[in-house]
Amino acid sequence: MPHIRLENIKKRFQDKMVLKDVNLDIEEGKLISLLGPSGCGKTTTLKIIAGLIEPDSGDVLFDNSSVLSIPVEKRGAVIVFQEYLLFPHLNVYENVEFGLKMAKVDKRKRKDKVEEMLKLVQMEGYEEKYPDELSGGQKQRVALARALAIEPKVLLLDEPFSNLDTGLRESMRDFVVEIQRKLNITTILVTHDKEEALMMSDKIALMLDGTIKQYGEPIKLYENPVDEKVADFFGRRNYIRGRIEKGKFISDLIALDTNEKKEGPVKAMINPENVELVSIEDIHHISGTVKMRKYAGDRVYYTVVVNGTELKCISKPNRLFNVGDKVGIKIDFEQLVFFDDLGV
Amino acid sequence: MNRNRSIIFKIIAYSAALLLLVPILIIIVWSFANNWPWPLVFPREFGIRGWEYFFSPTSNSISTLIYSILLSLTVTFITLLITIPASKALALYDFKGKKLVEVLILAPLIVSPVAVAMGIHQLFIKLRLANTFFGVVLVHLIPCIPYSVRILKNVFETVGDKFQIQGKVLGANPLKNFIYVTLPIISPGIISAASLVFTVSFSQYFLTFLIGGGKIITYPMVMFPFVQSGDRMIASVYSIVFIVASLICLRLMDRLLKKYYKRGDYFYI
Amino acid sequence: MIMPVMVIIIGIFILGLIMGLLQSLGYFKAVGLTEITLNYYREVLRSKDFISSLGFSLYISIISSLIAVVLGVLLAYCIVESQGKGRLADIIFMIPISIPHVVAVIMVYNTLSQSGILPRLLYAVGFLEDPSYFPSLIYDRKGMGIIITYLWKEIPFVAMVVYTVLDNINERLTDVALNLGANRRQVFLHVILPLILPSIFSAFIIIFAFSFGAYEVPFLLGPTSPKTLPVKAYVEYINPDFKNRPYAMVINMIVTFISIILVWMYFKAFKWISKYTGDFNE
Repeated sequence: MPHIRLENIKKRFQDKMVLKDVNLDIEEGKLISLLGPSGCGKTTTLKIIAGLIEPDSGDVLFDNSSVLSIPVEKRGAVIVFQEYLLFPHLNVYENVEFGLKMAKVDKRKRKDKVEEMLKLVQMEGYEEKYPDELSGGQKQRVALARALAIEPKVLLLDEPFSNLDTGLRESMRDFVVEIQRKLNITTILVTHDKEEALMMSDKIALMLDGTIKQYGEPIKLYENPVDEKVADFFGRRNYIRGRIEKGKFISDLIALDTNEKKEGPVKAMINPENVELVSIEDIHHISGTVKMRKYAGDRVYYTVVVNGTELKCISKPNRLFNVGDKVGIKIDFEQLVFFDDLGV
Repeated sequence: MNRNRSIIFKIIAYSAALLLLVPILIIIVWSFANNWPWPLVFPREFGIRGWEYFFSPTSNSISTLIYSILLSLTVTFITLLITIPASKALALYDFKGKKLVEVLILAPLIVSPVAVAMGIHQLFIKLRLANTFFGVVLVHLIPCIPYSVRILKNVFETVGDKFQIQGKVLGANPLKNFIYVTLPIISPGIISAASLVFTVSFSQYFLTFLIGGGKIITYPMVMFPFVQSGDRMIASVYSIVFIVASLICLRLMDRLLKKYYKRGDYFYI
Repeated sequence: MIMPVMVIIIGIFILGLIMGLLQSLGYFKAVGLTEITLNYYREVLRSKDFISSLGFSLYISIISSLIAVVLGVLLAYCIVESQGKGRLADIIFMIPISIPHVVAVIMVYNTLSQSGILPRLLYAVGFLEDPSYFPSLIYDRKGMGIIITYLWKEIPFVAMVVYTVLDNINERLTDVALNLGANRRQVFLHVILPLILPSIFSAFIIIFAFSFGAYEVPFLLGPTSPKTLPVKAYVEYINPDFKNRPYAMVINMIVTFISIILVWMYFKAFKWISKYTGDFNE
């Protein structure tokens, strides 16, 4: 299971610079997500790692040696595509054994491996079926079995769950994570779904505009985003504009002492889940009026107005406030993150 | 590595294109060759004798050409008229005997029209359809129908009937639905089918020859004797006019339909 | 909906075949033949002339169709792999299709007859000493001129039919196969070929049937003997003695019979095709 490194990868398609400067360092046996909006270059990156596309410049290294000159059929980095792409003229058994057959593995060994794989993805009994007889989830499992059958060095998954229904999606996610841990195979998962990335990965690489903006553990990216763009990707945040002078943050809404090193104009970011609404009689930091409420079953989304500024809040449904209510607001100041305010 | 492969294939593909197109160039040269004896690689004498003959009133070529075009346009129109509804039915509906109908409609692609023409000739004579414009049009329909159905059925299958349903729901009666919803959507298919049908009809020799009986003279029939006799210059002239006339007609049809329906390019064979 | 089309098909196509059948069985009221008999069939099937025509027709159709299919597939593959779509594909496919066989005959004649361009070029370069040394490709007993004319039109046709399918399959499934460790040769053999085989088969049937039942080209470029079946049928047809008509019809019917077998095979291939393309509408 190699350690993969991408160095300064650049790729242009026609007149668009799809990958501007991609650098990534992936440890062996880890599952990392390549997260980003559609069209930002994630799939292109996967294809470059697999060898289906050549980068304009830069290098791809497996265990510190470049693989750029190794053709795709020899690299051992297998992609499971979004559309699965099972061979329509072959049945499940033949699809899964395809890679082994091409590698001229003998019949007995192929049979054992195929059976092992089908057991792993829980598709035993489907050997004779053809792709057009399978459901989406079944096709995906076969595609996975087909990829794992050749014991690849690297597993690359291109938005594998986007074509599945919600319930199935969740169980497949757990399933893939389980297999990955079991086989300890270096895995890169491409997705535009932030929840998926947060829940599955050892590390997330957030890609925006052709570069990796931040790379780290999920909790790091969520709680300590490196800039506003990264922050906004993971959810709706609140920004309070103000200044930091001599260790004190001052704004229209709140003021507090802080250890933050920055000076000058800043934006303080606070997540909606760290903004709590309480009754106006209870202890609170500031007060405001409820402008909007959306009930979502396991939680409630509020927008409250404080001195003309809107704050978003997520709270548990055990206490409901109505639109127009005057409420007290408690902010968990420990969770404030400061960004330079560029006046944008 | 990928680049090199691509180049080799490009070379082969372009060479093939060249091989296919060079003979056309040769005809063009021949049409201007007054005198081109063996073994010269280029004509000794260029001239427009052939072209003069072609355009002179004695050869009647222009009138025959126009007549042929009109005949083929008629065939195209009628073919489209009857195959559009049939293709829609085959693509979207299920009915008893559908398989049989499909087989029968596509059969003329494979079963020789030559045999059919010889078989039906007697009847046509009896019905006084032989040696008439209409009779020839009728018989041209036979090879044209399968080509048209093949393309249009494909189009209907791809497009489906969801747009028609949408139109219905929005209040369009069947006729309006057909004109404002169906036709524009399948227009690329219509263009493809019309082009192919026109070509098939315009190129017919034997069918016109037999059923037309010498009274209905289309352009390929005028060409035939020149090809047989080996007068290469005149045969080449006629060939070029044929090719040019075809291309012009097809281009016009293409433009007309596209302009009316403003659609992109499709390839529904 | 299907009424108008069926009227034409049944009224002309089917009726034409039925009348041909009746006449082949000896039933031709207009000249007083009213007895149904198989005699005409017996006579024709036993005649040496007919057998050699049948053989000639089959030979030409099989050879030209096989070569056209092989070269057509290769051509389609080259075009797809050259990655330069659009213009090139259009030219290669559309022009030969809109040019009738008659014109194709002229082209072949101009290029490959003993006084055609090719021998002239060879002579100028010194390879040829005399026009008669250049093999006679026209009017020859091997039907070379006919075959080459068919090839000129059929190779682009096959390429076009295959190209459509090939383009659809090619990039995505090729990537998958390569990614799983197959080399280029294996990809072609195990993935691409099986998937285009049904289309190849149906194209083959169409061009085979066409060349088998066609009149113009063998009439213009064929030898005096043997004639291909449709040409022979016409010769019998225009015999001033109407009582000769049944012989023409027998030949037509035999050609039709063979074609009907081909129709059956074509529809089998059709079923095969739809099995493989089911997955692409995802």
